[in-house]
Parts: sequence; structure tokens; C-alpha cells
Amino acid sequence: MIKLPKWALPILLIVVLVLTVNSTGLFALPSAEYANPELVNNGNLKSLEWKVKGVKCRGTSQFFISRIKDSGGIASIETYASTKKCLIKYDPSLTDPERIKQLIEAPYFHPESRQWIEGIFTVVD
Amino acid sequence: MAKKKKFRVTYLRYAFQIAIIAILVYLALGYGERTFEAYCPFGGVEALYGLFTTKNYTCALGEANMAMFLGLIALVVLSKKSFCGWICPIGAVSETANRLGFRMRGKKHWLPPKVDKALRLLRYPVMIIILYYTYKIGDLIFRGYDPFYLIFSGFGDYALGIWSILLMLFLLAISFIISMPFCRYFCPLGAFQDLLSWMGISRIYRNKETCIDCDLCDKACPQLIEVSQKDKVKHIDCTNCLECVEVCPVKNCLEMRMF
Repeated sequence: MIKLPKWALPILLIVVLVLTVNSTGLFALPSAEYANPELVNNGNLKSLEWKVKGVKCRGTSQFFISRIKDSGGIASIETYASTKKCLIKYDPSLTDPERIKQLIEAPYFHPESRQWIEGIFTVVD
Repeated sequence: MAKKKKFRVTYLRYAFQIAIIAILVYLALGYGERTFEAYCPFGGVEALYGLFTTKNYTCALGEANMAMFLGLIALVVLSKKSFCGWICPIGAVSETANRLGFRMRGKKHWLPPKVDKALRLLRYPVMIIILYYTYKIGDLIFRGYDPFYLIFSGFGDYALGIWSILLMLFLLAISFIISMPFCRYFCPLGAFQDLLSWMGISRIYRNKETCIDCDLCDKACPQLIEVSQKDKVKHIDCTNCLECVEVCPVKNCLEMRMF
């Protein structure tokens, strides 16, 4: 048996916490994803990485994807709800970042309340 | 000559708890990359089913929950439930409330041991119910009852209005007269840790040759473990908070050892 000094436990906790926080990236998985088979292998795709306010869970991630995936020129989308990060690959000959941003931030018509809702998603940076 | 001040590891523990609460408040205010919820290790337990079945994280759970969950497993194996005693903010709040209650009323715990022992079993059905419905529905539907979520979100979007407020007031109030009620009776993360806590390789040992049976260690233990009756503290609720070691008047009578 090894006798442990009093400070051993706090040191152990700090080491485990630092390792844990630094290993977070190893477990990253998209909350939701989409790939357009007709475009995804196109060699001329460009990428966007945006933090989008409103992407906060798997459900909102899927809703986010549904809002832009059929707009033309979107090759793939990955969302990461825990960081609100969204990776979008698009064909620059068919769409552009300004148009994608407009689609993301456009008001949404809520069928049950029959009202337009503003600001469901906002591109933060 | 001035007497050399003794290093009190419990002060370090309080500093640890305050630092963790400060970090969580910082995250809750939206300054970090992730929200405070991302760092709850129980989220990792809740994420397991989704990961195995759909290869996705359930609802708002993510990679930080999984990393914290694996870190927690490592900690439990190395040092029993030290996460509860040193890191968990709910444990810190509950312990502080009970300490205040003890100062005001002179008694730490008002339940008979048999009732207390029976109530400790409640955390297992709580864990099973939470995991069952989270796995079945694929949503974090218990956030309205979760003190961690309610405190750090400031009774946020998923709070259940007056019910969440009443629940928190109830838990806070009983923490003054019952030692750490949420942690010991309801915490699903505590129940999960019980599966591994018994094998924690660092634990408190009592030297019965030098022990003077003052029972100060029993009175100091936030988990109400009768340290004075044991040669080594194998109890699954031990958080290695070292309160018993600090309060022991005999040098090296209580000490932490590995293996």
C-alpha cells in the first residue's frame, strides 16, 4: 500500500480534468448531417464554418438542415449542437454565402400558430 | 518562534468547488465555446444509447459530455466518488447549506439511520427512470427537475415554472436539516458511480492502534459514514473529501492510501 500525501488528490483531480477537457475533440460527432449525392463529390466545392445561434440540439439541427438543403447548390451540411458550429459545403457556381445566410436567417412560417417567426437562427460568426 | 501553519487540504477543496462554480457561471453566461450543460458527466451516460443505436448524440448532448463521462470513470476507479466531493456544484451547495444548518441548529442530520439507509436506495430507480425515458424519447425531458440545469440556467427554457421553483426550494430547505439529500437520495450520477465506487483504489485507512475513539471523524463526514468503525473506508458513498482526515486529532491515524 502506498501512503498518499494530502495534496495527491487535488493534483490527480487537476490532471484528470485537464486531460478530459483536452480530449473532448476525440468524441466529436455531428448532431445532424446531410449530403447531396449529386454535388458532394464535386471538386469545386467551397466551405463555410459558421456559429449559428438557435442550433441547440439534434431537433433544431435537423430543422436547420431542412431550411437550406434544398435551396440549390448545397453539397453537405454538418451541425454540432454543443458548440453551435455548422459546416456547410456549397457549389459556388450555384449559390453564395450571402444567399445561404439569408436563407438561414429568414423568418419561418409556423403552421400551427399561422405566424411568421423571426430570428429562429442567427449566424453569429 | 511563530508556529508553522498546518496545510489544510479541505480549504483547497472549497477553493476547488468555488472555482468550478465560477467556471460554470462563466459558461452559463454564454462566454465559453459550449454551455455549462455540455460538461455534465451524466450527459455521457444519457448519450450512450443514442451513440450505440443511431451513432449520434441525443438532443443537446455532445462530445464534452462523453469526455467528462470517461474522465469520471477514471476518477471513480482512481479515487472513488471524489467528483462529488471536489467538483460537483450541487454537492458544494448542498454541503454548504447543511453546514449552515448545523451551525444554526446544532444537528447535522435529522433522519433515523434506518430511514436514511432506505432513502439512499431511491437514487437507483431515479437513475433507471431517467435513462429509460431519455433513451425511449430521445430528449432530455427531466431538465425541469434537474438542480444543475435549473441553477445554472437561472430556471431557463425547460424549467417547469412554479414546480421547478418549489422543487429547488424544497431541496435547499431540507439540505439544512438533512445531510446532502439530493446527492444521497436522488442523484442519478451518484447511483451510476456506485457501480464502480467500491473498487476505487485510493481510500481512507484508519489505524486502530492509535485511534482514540473520539468520533470526530464520524461527525465530520458529510456522507454520514461511520469512519471510526472501519479499518478502511470502502463505503460506496465516500467522496474522499478528507474532512475526516483533517479533523482527526491523532497524527497519521487516518490517512489516504492507494491499493
